Amino acid sequence: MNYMQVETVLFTAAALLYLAAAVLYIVFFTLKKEKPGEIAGWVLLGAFIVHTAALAVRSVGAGRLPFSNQYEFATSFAWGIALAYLIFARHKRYRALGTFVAPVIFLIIGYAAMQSRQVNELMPALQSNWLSIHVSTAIISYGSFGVAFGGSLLYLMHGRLHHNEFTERYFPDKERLDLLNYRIICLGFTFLTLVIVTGAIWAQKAWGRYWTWDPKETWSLVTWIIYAIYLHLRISRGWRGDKAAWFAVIGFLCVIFTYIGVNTWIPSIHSYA
Amino acid sequence: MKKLLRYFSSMSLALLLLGLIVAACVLGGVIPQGGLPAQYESLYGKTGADILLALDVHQVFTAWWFIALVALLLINLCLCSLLRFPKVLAQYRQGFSLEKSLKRDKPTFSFACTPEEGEKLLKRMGFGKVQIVEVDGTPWRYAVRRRAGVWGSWLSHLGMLVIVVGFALGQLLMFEQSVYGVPGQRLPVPGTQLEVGIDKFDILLRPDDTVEQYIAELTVYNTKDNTQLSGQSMVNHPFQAYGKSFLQNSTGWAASLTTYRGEDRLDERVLFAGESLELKHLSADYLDLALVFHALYPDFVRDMDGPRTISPNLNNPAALFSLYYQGKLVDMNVAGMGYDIKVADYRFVLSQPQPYSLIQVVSDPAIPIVALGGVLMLLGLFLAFYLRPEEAWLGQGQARGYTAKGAALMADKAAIIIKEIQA
Ligand code: HEM
Repeated sequence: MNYMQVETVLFTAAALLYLAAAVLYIVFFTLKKEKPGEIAGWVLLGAFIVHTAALAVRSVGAGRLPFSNQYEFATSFAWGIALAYLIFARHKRYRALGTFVAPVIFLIIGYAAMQSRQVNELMPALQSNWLSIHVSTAIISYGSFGVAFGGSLLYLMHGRLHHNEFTERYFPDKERLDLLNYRIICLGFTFLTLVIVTGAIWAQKAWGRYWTWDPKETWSLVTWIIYAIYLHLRISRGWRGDKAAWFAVIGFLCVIFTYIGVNTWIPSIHSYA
Repeated sequence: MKKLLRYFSSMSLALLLLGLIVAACVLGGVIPQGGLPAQYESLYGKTGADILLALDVHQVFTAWWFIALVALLLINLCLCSLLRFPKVLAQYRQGFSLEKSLKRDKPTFSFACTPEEGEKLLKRMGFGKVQIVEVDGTPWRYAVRRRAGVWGSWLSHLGMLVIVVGFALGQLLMFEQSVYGVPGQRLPVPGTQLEVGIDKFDILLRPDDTVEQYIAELTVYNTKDNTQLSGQSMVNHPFQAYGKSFLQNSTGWAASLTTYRGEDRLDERVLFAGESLELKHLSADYLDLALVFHALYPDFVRDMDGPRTISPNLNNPAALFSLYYQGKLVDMNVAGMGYDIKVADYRFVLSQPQPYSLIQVVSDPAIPIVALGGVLMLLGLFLAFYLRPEEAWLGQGQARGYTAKGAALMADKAAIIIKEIQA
């Protein structure tokens, strides 16, 4: 077997494991059964390990980090969300969060599965350490926003749930959940700032201009300002709770648009060339 | 006046401006920028295009209203940072005191414990320096940590301000030009006393014919003081000389064009793909002929897909050209190198195909300012988010702590530690 085949096997296994974790979390959440939730946590961890191996094999095979085409970035993005989830929601109290995060991971890795998995040689402009740093920070930032998105959905559902001993145990109380979402967004925001700064440094080296308002840059700025507005509303208007959660949802939709939409849906002047 | 000042320094205005700027960016990020009117008409129809052009939506980021929004944000940021400075300084110096803490009726945590347990708790929570402070004759133990965190959001705003100022300065002071040529040529950089000599230009290909790197060996001549500097410029590794960056930006094909009438050689020059030669520009005596050199196929084949190149290597170079007589197209074809393109008693011969190098020459003296802003901004964010100031005090059989931000975290941490200590 060559690298590509090994990667395909690992990647597919990871995607299926994420799917299994998502289903188990949903069973746990809807039927309020303890066991599936516990297993889901382990399955997700397993998926993450297999996924890490898939990325490692690809990196070795390609001789570089898997950060360049749609497939590579989508699979790394899903990995980033899984990583942020495993770090932030490691406490049993946050288990219900998995119900909202695992499906997002599965959807994104599913999107990756639909892209071409071919290893491309990098064009000269993409051969830069700054690019690797830029994309690594993006994975952490977008991964964090993905978890905050899941946390915000849980927050929005929280009030509509019937509470009992089970929810006491596996659902964070609203204050903690709100604080968790805020902290994850702070991390995502700090890293998004790094994404923009490292992107600017790289653009300066590759194109001689650190900021040219191209759609990708502009959309990352939009996302950044939306989260900045979120931080200010929390402070000035006390926008915690539901309103903050809605903002985090909008912010993540913006992240997705920046990542997938800009490349696919924006008409470009260049298409006339 | 005071009211106006307060409004211009307020967060409500900041939120309004940020909201409007986001809306503008969304427009600029969705609608292609810098296109021609006809392109917008085909995308959005006549009325759509008219509205769009009237409001400068096709060039949002240089539109007066966008610049006005950013200028207002800048004023807002300046005023808010100025007015907040004394407050943050006072908060840093006097904001944390035992007197204040003792009055808190809602501390973040509060446990009954012995003095030893309290000391241990504080130590394990990261409070290094514990002071003994006397209030009304009673001694207390009091500690603050991460006090510098109060500067966080202030610094991040300062950073933002510096970035915007640096960006604006850059727009005013920036220099940007490009020149292109083939090895051996020396090209003046418009608007400067510099000339770029292209000594060598290589395109490194991988075994699968994809491009690994473009390497231009350059000598930059300063005609003012007759000095020169030589170096290499590759994609992602610009060459710096005389305060400017020389970037290997792109490439294309060039060929030598020799023009004959009968046996007389009329002209010899390097023609770049896309360029043309009009004979009447050489001499009014010549026929009104023009040759347009459209493209060069380095490895030419003509098959079912039409004329094309099957590799980037110069295996079978051929040029796509067209000929015009008195402005009318008379011929369009593909010619090999050295082949005679004949019209009347004129002959055009293309030879010596070679890639040319497009060198971009840029400088932006405000970059250090923007970089400083970026550093301040990141430092500020780190302080704001990761150095949340915390206080703790011990006395009268109690251990208490307070933090304004992230209270649940501090409370959880303290509860776990005190449980371990008391167990
Ligand atoms: C793009 C522009 C801006 C960015 C990126 C930004 C960023 C931030 C950040 C990261 C915080 C800290 C939030 C937290 O600790 O949760 C903050 C707080 C704050 N911002 Fe901004 N800000 C911007 C514009 C402004 C403007 C124009 C004003 C002017 C009124 C302003 C006023 C404030 C105030 C008063 C606080 C609260 C500070 C505190 O309580 O420590 N911001 N901002």
